[in-house]
Amino acid sequence: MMKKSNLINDRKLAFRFHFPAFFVLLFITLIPLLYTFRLSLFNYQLSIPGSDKEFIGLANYIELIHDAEFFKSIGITLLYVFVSVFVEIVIGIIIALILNKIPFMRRIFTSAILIPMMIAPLVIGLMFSFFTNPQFGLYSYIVNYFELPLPTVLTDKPAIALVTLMIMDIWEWAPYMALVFLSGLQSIEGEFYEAAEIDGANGRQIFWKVTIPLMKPIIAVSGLLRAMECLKEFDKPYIFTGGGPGNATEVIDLFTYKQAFTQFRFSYASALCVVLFITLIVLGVFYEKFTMKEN
Amino acid sequence: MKKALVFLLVLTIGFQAFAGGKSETAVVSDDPVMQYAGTTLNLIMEQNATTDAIEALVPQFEELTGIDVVIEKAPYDDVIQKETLAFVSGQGAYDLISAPYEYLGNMVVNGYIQSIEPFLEGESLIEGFDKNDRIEALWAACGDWEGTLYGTPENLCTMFYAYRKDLFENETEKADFLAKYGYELAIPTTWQQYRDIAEFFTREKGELLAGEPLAQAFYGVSMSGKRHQATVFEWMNYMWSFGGNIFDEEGNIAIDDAKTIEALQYYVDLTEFAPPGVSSKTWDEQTTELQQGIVAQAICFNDCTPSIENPDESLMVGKYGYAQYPAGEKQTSHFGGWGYYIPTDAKNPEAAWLFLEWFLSYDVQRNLAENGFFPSLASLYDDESLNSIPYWEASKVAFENSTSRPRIPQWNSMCEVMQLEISMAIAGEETAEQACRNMAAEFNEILAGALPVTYQ
Repeated sequence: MMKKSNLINDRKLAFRFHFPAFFVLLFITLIPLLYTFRLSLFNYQLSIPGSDKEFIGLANYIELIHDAEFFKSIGITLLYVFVSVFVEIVIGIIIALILNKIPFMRRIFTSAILIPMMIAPLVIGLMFSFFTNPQFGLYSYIVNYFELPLPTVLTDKPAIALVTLMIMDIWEWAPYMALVFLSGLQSIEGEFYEAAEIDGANGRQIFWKVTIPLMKPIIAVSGLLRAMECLKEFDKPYIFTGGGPGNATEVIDLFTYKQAFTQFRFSYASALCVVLFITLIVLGVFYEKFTMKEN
Repeated sequence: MKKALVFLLVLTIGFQAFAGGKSETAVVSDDPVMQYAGTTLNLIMEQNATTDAIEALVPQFEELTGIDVVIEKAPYDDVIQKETLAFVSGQGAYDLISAPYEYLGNMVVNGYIQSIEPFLEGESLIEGFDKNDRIEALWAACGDWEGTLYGTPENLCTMFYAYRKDLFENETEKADFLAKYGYELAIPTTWQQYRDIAEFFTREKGELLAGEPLAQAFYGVSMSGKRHQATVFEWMNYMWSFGGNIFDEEGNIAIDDAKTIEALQYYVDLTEFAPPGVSSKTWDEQTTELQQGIVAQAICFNDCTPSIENPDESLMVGKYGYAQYPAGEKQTSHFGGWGYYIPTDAKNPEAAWLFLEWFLSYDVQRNLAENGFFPSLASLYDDESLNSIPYWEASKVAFENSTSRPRIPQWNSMCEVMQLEISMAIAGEETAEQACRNMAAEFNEILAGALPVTYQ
């Protein structure tokens, strides 16, 4: 009996401790989320008076399924996320390996490579805009001066514009990956390497058979987290290309923003947000399952 | 509990003390101009040189009326968002707003703004304000919706032709041009001539221009091509001039008409003679190119000319001539003004009107005209002392020829479609014909149930 009573008391205490956090989350997350879902079932368009009361059920979701621009935007976003995160992982591993091998100046380097990550994405977009300006930017000057076989205009061609955005993201986030991987490398016990060396493994074999398998969980988790963050990209394309040329760099958040704040189709934009939210939830579940499995 | 109550009381008093900041209570005065003294007037305007010029004069208004003016400035794209969100919230965030005139229909139909006619009928309080001294067409474009005035002009602008006068008058260039094309180098009167000039002046680094070797490449024309309103507005000049239009005379969609397609094809082809990166350019980059002197000609908004003729900002002061671009089938000029509007939920509409009377008074408008602003008072265009402004005469003619874009509530969505499709055509992702057909299809969806458009 005593035990049960203690359990109830513990639960009450736990509830009291959790309540403030739950209360805050309720207001800042759950209520806006439910409101967004409700909005997505209406035909609310700021340019049409009274449209906020026009209930249309799942019509916005059905329209979304038939919206070619939405699917193109999804495709661009997935390509952007996949390439950016993949390259960030590769560069991150390379930088981490170098820093791990060269302890000299490691602290200064690790601090210095954090700088891109600390700059607001909007500022990065602006920086690259100035840097790559075809007439007055340093980039075009260097390309012209050394007659490099590179395009001087980075926003004219769809593929080049998208690749430039990927480079911006990689520049910003590869250092973060490097730091995470460096901590992972440093946590690998030296015994593994000693055993491999005794067995006669060379450097390449040690890397592929020891380092990478032991780093796999940390690579997967940080990659997944970055992918979730990258899916929400908005600032850099908004500033750098505005989604163009055409809609070649219109990632899903930019597409949603345009629906809501330039076309004022709030309900349709809400439906997009709900779909994006569900996608992120699915990714989140994968992430949780993965980490639980590893634990 | 007691402590909590005391804390709440202190918090409430503190909040009121700080939130109040400035008293909203009007100070009673016998002078009618001072009757709203102590009121705070909240405005939102685009962040540009015109707003800065108006802001610099605002202390005069504050001294005259005792009204405190708070101007919130935002970039072009953000102004409409902020205003629309303020309208929807209905909290009276702004007493006076500045907005592009094409949003008039949207604002009126939604009941966001109020008629200014009751104010116009009242007695004027500001000396120098004459409600009859106005250019009717500009007032109508900015404020008239189905016979009722909802606003006044604010920042007026229209598009015209800017060209390098010094190069057009250069004997070597003239001789070379004549030899190559068989006619005199002059302000173009046909679109073929416009293209010829663009082609003629497009030169590589190291080639000669006016007898001097070029330190960097030089281009025939400056253009906007970004997925942005600037591109749509610029292209609409070509569209009208080629004989195309968004709607036909009956109000049905005509954007896929052969003449419109031809106009878009011409625009796309012309980008060959523009500085690289057309797809990322708006009127801002176009102004910079003109200021830097790397282009021979452009069709631009006349409100960018003051900064081209400003020695603090431009390398090309006095080198441009201003005129009308080729007439084609119809001599036109894209009107791009902004208007002032009093929101329905404004907390101080009378004070807002007082501000408008002051803003539209002769001395204020004249002062602004001298600083690169285009006034809406008819009398100022007869003021000969302003004729010395290099772009003044061409602006007057352009205003007379100006054509407005549609002001219907759906225009915002239509413009968004045009931005995408024109940008796709420029990027080579679509042909001009595909782009125009797509625009027509999208317009049909956007305007479902609203066709034909008989009032715009």
